[in-house]
Amino acid sequence: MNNRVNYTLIGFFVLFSLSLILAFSYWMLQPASEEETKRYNIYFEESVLGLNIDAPVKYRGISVGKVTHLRISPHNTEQVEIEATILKSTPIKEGTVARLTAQGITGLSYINLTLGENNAPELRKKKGESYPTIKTVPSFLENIEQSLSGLSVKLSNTLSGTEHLLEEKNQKEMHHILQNTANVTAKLNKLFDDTTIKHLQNTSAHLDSLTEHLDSVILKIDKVVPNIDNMLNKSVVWEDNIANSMNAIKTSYVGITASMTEIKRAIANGEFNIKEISADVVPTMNNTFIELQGLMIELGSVLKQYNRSPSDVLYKEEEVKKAPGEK
Amino acid sequence: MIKLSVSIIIMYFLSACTVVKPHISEYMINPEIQENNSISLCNNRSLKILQSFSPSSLMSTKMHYVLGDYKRDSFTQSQWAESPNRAITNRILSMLQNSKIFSTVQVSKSRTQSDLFLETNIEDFVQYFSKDEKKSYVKAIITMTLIDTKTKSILASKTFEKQVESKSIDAQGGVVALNSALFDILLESQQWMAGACK
Repeated sequence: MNNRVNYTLIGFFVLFSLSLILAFSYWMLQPASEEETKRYNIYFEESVLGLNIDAPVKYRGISVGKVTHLRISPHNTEQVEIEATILKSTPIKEGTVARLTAQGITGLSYINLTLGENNAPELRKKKGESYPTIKTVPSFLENIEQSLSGLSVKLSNTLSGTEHLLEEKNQKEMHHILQNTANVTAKLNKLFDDTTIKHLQNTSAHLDSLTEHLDSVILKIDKVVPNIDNMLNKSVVWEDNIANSMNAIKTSYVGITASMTEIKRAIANGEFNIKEISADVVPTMNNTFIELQGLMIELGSVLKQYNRSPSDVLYKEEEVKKAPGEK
Repeated sequence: MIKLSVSIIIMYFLSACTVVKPHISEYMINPEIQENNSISLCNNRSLKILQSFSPSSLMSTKMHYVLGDYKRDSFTQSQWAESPNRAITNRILSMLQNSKIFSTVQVSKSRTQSDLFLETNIEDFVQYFSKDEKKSYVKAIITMTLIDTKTKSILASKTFEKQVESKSIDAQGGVVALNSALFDILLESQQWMAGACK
């Protein structure tokens, strides 16, 4: 047994193993990463009554942060500066706006975030700002207040206008207009007696009937027009085809005429004697056909043999039956 | 490797060439032709002999036979030197050229025009064996028709039928008998054709 132990190597091995175990353990036991947060500034130009430190910041009803600091803005005393801590995972974009919202009837408020355009870029810190600033919109109460204020101004203006309208001079003018209107109405009454109204009603009925007829006629015309268009288109194509055919016939006719002239000339010169040619060709063809017939019969015989025994073509495997008198 | 495979395949196919085939005897249709001495009524007319019509079995050199009533086969060690159709047409031509029945006799290949055509139909020219292969005979049936080339009408037509017993029960005996039967038919046809033109 070898007692010379290399303690350095063992030590190194133990340390290496330990570091591996530690690394593995760290990996296994490493704490889950805390959800990181990010700070934002929000400036309200209205009263933030009911909003306290640690008041929630919600995004679509989900609590995504809280108010961490609350003060009058040192740069603008009409503004309230709010510092909010919001989860990084919240999509705070350029179009995101904050609105102060009342929390039921408790008198408490919270900040409600509304996402603007989905594709808008992420909200970033601008030059001179300690944190990115989320834009604000007036709260519901502020809106009502502003609306009421506007309404009272408009009401006041209307009353003043009415007063101006009902001056004495205008009242006389109005009286005169009303008198004229009464005269016109009396004349119209005389003009539109019962008979005239009846005539007008009849005319109107006739016009209705005429309109109905016109509608039906227009419908029929609408149906016919595409057919006429189609027919016209087809007739154009047809005419083109006929023109092409006629051209082809003309070309063929010219060719045939030329050929016939040439054949006539050849016959007149004795270059084209069908009888003489056929006298030479027909017997030869006849003999060729007879030879061809013999060849076809031989071929048929070979094919018959091949069909009966395909391997016989190479190896003559078919049993040969001897004919009478053969050994 | 490819060369070796190709060589093996070629050798395999060439081995087919080593098949031993039995000897095949070829027989001729060549009956003795006799000169005609009878007076002919057609000696002023020319004749063209057309290729004979026949069943396809008579247009090959295979020598067929009939065994019993219905069985038909061919000899394995015997065949015709020339197809019966062609041989009989040639023998008729030779016979008529020697007989002086017509002024001239031409084959169908000739470009000359003639007064008459001779159409021949070979209906039977086969050897028959009895079922027990103890008896054999041959049968030859040939129909000849003389046609006027101008009117395309039949001048005369006759069927010649001969049956001759084979002297031996084999192909050779059949060939001898068929030659004999054809000789008789040619002789009869000579006399018939001499009197055909009226």
